[in-house]
Amino acid sequence: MNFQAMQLHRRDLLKHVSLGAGSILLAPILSRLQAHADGRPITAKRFVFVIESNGLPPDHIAPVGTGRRHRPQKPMTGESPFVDLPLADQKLPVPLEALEPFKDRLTLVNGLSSRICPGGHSSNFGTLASRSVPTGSSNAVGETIDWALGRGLPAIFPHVGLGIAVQPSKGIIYNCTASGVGQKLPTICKPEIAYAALFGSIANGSAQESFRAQTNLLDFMTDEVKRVERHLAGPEREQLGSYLAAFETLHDRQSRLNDIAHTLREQAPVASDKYTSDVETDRLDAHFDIGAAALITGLTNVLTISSGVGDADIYMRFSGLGINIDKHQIGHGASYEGKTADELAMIIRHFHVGQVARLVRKLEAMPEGDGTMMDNTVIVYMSDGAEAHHSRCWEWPMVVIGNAGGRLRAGRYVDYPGYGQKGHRTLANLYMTFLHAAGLPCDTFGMPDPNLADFDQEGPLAELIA
Amino acid sequence: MIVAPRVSGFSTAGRISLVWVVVQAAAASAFATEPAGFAAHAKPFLAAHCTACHGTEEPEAKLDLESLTADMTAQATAATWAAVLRKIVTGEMPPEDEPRPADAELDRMIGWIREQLVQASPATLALHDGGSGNVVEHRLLFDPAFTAAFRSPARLRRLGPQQYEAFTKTITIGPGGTLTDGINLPFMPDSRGVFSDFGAPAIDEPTTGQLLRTALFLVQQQTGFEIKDGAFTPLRRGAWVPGTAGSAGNGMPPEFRKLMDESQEITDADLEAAVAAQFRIVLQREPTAEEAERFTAFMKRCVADSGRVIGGRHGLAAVFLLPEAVYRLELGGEPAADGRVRLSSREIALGIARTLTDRPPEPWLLADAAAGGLDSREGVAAAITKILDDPRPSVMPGVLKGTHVKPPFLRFIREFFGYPRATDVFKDGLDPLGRGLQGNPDHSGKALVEDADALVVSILEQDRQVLRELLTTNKAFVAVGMHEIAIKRRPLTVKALEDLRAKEPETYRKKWGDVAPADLPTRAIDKQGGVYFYCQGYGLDEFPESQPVEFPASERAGLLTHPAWLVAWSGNSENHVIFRGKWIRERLLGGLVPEVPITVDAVLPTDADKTLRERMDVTRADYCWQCHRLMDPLGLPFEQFDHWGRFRTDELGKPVVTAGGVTYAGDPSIEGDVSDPFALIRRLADAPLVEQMFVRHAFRFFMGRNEELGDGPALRAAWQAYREHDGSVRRMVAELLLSDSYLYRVPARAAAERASASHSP
Repeated sequence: MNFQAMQLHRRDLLKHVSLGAGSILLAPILSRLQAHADGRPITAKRFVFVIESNGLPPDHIAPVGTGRRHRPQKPMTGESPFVDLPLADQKLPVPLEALEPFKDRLTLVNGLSSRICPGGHSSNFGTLASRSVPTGSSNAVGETIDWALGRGLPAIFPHVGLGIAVQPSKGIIYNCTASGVGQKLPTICKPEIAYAALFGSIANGSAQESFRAQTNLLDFMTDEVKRVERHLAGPEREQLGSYLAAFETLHDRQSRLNDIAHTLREQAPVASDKYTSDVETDRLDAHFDIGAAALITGLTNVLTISSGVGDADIYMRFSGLGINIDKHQIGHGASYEGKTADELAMIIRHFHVGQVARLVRKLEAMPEGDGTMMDNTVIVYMSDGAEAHHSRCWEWPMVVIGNAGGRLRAGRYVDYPGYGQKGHRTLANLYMTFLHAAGLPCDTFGMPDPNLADFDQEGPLAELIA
Repeated sequence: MIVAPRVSGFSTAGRISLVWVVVQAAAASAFATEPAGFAAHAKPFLAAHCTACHGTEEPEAKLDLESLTADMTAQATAATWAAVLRKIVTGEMPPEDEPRPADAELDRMIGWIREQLVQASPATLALHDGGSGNVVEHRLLFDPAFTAAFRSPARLRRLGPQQYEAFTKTITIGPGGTLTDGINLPFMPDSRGVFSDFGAPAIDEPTTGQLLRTALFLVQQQTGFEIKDGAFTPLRRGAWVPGTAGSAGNGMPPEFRKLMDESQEITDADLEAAVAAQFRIVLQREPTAEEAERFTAFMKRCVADSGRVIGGRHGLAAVFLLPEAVYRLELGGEPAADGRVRLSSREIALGIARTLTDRPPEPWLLADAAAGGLDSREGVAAAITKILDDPRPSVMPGVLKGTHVKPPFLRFIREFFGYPRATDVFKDGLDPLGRGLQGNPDHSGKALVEDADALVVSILEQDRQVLRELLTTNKAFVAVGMHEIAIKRRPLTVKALEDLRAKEPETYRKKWGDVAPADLPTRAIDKQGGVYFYCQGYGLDEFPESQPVEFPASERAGLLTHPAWLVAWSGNSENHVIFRGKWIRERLLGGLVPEVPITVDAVLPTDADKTLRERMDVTRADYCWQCHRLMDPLGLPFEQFDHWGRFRTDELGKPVVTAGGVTYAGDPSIEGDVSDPFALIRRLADAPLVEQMFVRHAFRFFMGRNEELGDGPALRAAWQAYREHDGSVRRMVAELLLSDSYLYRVPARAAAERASASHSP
């Protein structure tokens, strides 16, 4: 990657787009670029959620020697201390090895619950919403944290969802992100589709012609759909309204993509065989490349990368890692070629965490303000299956990388008291911590756990705020 | 007379599930303008039946309905109303010991809440209904003396996923087959409710992006070419142009060819001709003069900006994106005095063809529509009959091939019974309670679903007493796909073994002894041939001699005892009494089962020496039983089978207990204990209520929406047609499409005007 060139273009860009027609829509990205050009501190934050299916057990994130195991699957009594260890003196567990160089900005969080979620194989749309969903239901039940952040940190795409599903043929699925009740947002599973959606404007030799033709088409369709809409009323009109809005958004985005084509050309990932590979590790790898480029080019500030997330995709098989049984079988304790289920899960996790580390390095290499893009980025690694393959959400281990420009106190392993014990907190509290770090403070998120009525379920986790 | 399924005595469960609603209601915003009907009907209803307990002073369950506003645009308020709706519809409230509101009063209240929610917060309504049409009073739907407002809505519905797929095939089919490899279909089947094509999901931005890519893909297929030895050579093997015989030899329509072949000069007239050809292919009609003008101008701009190939293709893609190409239009014309409109003839032609066959209409039907043939009910009836009685058997590959069963009919039965879920239930043969391996090495959910499909298709092909047959037949197709392979492969395997015996007699003897290959047991031959033996779920040790197999009536009775259904509604390693009971309660008895309250941690004890039935005793605790009584007695008789779907007489060394019962069905004639699943199924198969629930589900599937009280006449007519025609599903569905509920609509504007007129004080 040519970082010098990138910098040049990010500066260049200002000169020719700030006067263009798209400048109002580009305001967020422009203000950041302006700040960058002026050398002022940059305040816009970025968030990445990396979600891996089939559970993340507490011992997989606890530093070596803490002896942390699953807690009993029931309310706990008595007192239990809040554990707070500086990571500098700790050795990370095997699955998190790749994060060893970033320990100073790493926060490992154990002990949070989210009993409001249904548990089971996946809490589906409840995972990021901290809301109750019937077990196995794929209903969108409310705004999810990634969308809440995305809408508060706008960019050309308020949110980008990428992921892998069991069947390589699946193009777009709806598995974990929603903007409200019944309003699911897509997870693009085919890297080629993601590439076309994000970097299509600069795709190939005839790109210019295609891009112009596409712009013409979207322009024309907007008018054609409007023509029909005028004759309608009531819900029929609303139905068509969403189609019309879609064309308008696509058209609008087209002109914005046009405006930043220079930057896109510099930073777009190089499409490769991995984009169409049947091997899931290749596709995930490609998604991390595309996602990184989307963040670096400012196409989005919030990215969710999901791996086998949602009830429909609990049977992910990581043949790319030489494991030819699926994760559901592993969850049920199956061993393979002499490796125990736990060892297999760790191998797969190791791969995911390795991808996360790769993303950290890419963002660290991008200068921004006085530091790098990583300084303003928070990457969250978690599971939609909470702490186990068959989760009941008594605890929900979380890995957080980044300190959001110093707003989070990082470099620590924390373990909250158990469910029902004094000082116990929930996953929603951590989500509110993210909102706080993004400059979008709020006191409630999701649905409170009615069995924790006497507990503090509001606001961020004070222990994590700098 | 059938009495409405009614669930009562939910005080405790109701209280708990309402708590969060109340918490949110506290934050409800003040309403600006009060919707019509609130003061006149809703408020008095609450005052008469609810606020004595749920008033502002120390309200029961902390639910204050006295100060509840009518502003359902506030989500918390909408959620409270949705909860109220559900409680009164299911009969949970008012409680048993309080007077029941009069039918008319109840209908008005239910209608009012639903109408307000539909306008203000449809998502909340959908979430609280759980997508179930069962909230509508069954008794009133089938009571000819009861009349309710007709509300069948004018609609714009996205094409169904299967319809869109069928459409793409008609676009790309030619002498060499269809060219849809690598296509990404824009619309996904919806897995939330019972049916995969239901309601009117919005076409959002990502879907539109996908539609755009699909359109360009299809145009690429229509216009693909290469320059071979300097000559323009179409890649297409053929194109199906509705209303023409296609263009033999090379399939690219000549109008497109002229556009793409840059060695030829083109004029504006050529662009216009290409546009018109695309209208005929995609929309099956000529463009209007205005459309021709607009699209030609657009095409010109595209060609000028991006050249004839790229620009021309984008110009042609536009037709695929017109609302008419992606939506089912059910709008009709101008409303009559009663607020109703009749669907236009073209809407009817498109609608009945797609609903009955998934495919766009054939040319004769559109010609019929254009000639006024569908202007009368009789005309529509004749067209439906012509489609359903089409003597040409299906040529689609798969289970329908050679039959006269249309794809939507099979899909209806599949989704109603839900047996395709069998492919999603993971079975690993490990017993979590440590009782060793209880495996079935030849289990394949996919094979079971194929078998069930074959059975359903054979019953639909007969089209006589369909529901009764589906529920009671003791015939089954066993491992149909693999059986076919086994039969084909046997002679080859015998031949290979004979060769082996001739060449290496010792090797052969070691394994097979002195038995000649042709005399070996077929199972041994099949195993040697690498054939999977998918027969164990049926308790068979051999592939059957012929299909279908007749089982003893004391071992199998219809789909509910079919391994596919049993596996679909089972857990990973044991039966699932609750899934099965809930299925019968909701789909056959028309009841509703509340969601598990969020405070309940539903786990069964893990005593390895106890049967599932014994371990389920924990659900008898008062608090649990309020819901479990609706499911457990219906699900427990299926303990007759293990979780692979195998018939059994013993469990854990003791005779298996299969007792259960029908409770709270609202119809005393079908209530009572049963000794086993067969007695249960017989009783259900005889019940008019069950037949009516089948009709109600057919309505939901073929109309794509839940029934309302105003749809009573359509349901009654469909049920009568079903009975009069010896249980014919085709006649039943024909009647649904001939009903006012399908042919006539109330546009939203007219509905709103009438509602405000009737509700104003």
